Amino acid sequence: MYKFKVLGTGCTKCKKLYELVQKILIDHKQNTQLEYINDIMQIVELGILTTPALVLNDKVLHTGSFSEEQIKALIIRNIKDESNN
Amino acid sequence: MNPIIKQAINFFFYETSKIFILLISIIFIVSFLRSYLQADKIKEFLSKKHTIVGNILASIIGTITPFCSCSAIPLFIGFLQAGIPLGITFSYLIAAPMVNEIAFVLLLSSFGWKIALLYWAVGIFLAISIGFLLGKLNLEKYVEDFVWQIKTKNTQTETLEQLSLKQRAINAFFYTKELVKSIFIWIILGVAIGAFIHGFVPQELILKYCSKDNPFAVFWAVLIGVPIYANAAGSVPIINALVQKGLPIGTALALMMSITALSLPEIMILRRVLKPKLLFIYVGIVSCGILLVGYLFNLLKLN
Repeated sequence: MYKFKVLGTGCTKCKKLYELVQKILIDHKQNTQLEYINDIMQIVELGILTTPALVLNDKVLHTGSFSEEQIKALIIRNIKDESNN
Repeated sequence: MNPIIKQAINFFFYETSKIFILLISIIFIVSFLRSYLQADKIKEFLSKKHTIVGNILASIIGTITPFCSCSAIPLFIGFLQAGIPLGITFSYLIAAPMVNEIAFVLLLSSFGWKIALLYWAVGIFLAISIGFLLGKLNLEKYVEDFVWQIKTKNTQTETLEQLSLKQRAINAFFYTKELVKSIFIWIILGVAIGAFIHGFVPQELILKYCSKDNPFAVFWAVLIGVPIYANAAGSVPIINALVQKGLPIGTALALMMSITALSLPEIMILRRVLKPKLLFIYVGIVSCGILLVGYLFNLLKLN
């Protein structure tokens, strides 16, 4: 199971990332989960400095400004990576 | 067609295409270079610097990294956790929103090289000196206590080092596309307000209340600018219109600096990590610095 988390402090960029990840994960619904976290303590505890951030199973995939294409490639690569193991 | 309208339309297309060509090329270059500068690398790097060198580097790095005020808290806590002194953290926090490539491009296309470089240099100077000063005041006890108690896990991070040059360029291209798309609306809004000022605000009004002869004009500009939340993309066209109406350049730059460096939402966000006393000192000193810059530039008679 891939547990994705989008972490942000509630700004528009963070919501945009959440919606984007949601859209990308539509085709992988059976083995993925997505959660939105806006608790600052949790963000800081993960060592994240810039938001929004994308986390997969406690591994930080991306932090800060993003582009749609970059996030798409990142998610697809990571889903493939772990299924090979 | 009426020749004046035709001229105005030509002017509009010439100006906006100039701005966008400049924006796209500079944002592309900066975001390409930025792919080598990750926030956690900066943190590690700055945690080893403890003197004014740290303030200087933090301010310069602040100008080239993207910054959204919603990142202010995690960044602030993360920097302090890594052992970066409070003053150096403030240098970064001041420089990041105030001085960036978007502000530079817009000032360049509306006011020319001299003003754009001056804004950049003064912004960095303010960030260095205010951060240095705040660092000397022993204000650590006025940071909210929970900040010092958080334990940061050392998490695994997807490493970006192995990215090829081509991949970095592709990422920069997509990032540029999205950034330009998102500031487009701000520029249009700014141009619209600027056009309104251009058409409806009488020049006498500005000359009467905001001329260099009025010693309080800069003060009012900063007081109005501090609570306003807007980015450089939206504020430059407005400031450009005001300057064309006769607003002195020092007053205009002070207004722009206070709009970008401080804002009510950012002050409210910072309140979560700063006790009221430190928040007050921070906002006060930054405002005073901007005020001084405004008066100084007005004395230089740049317009």
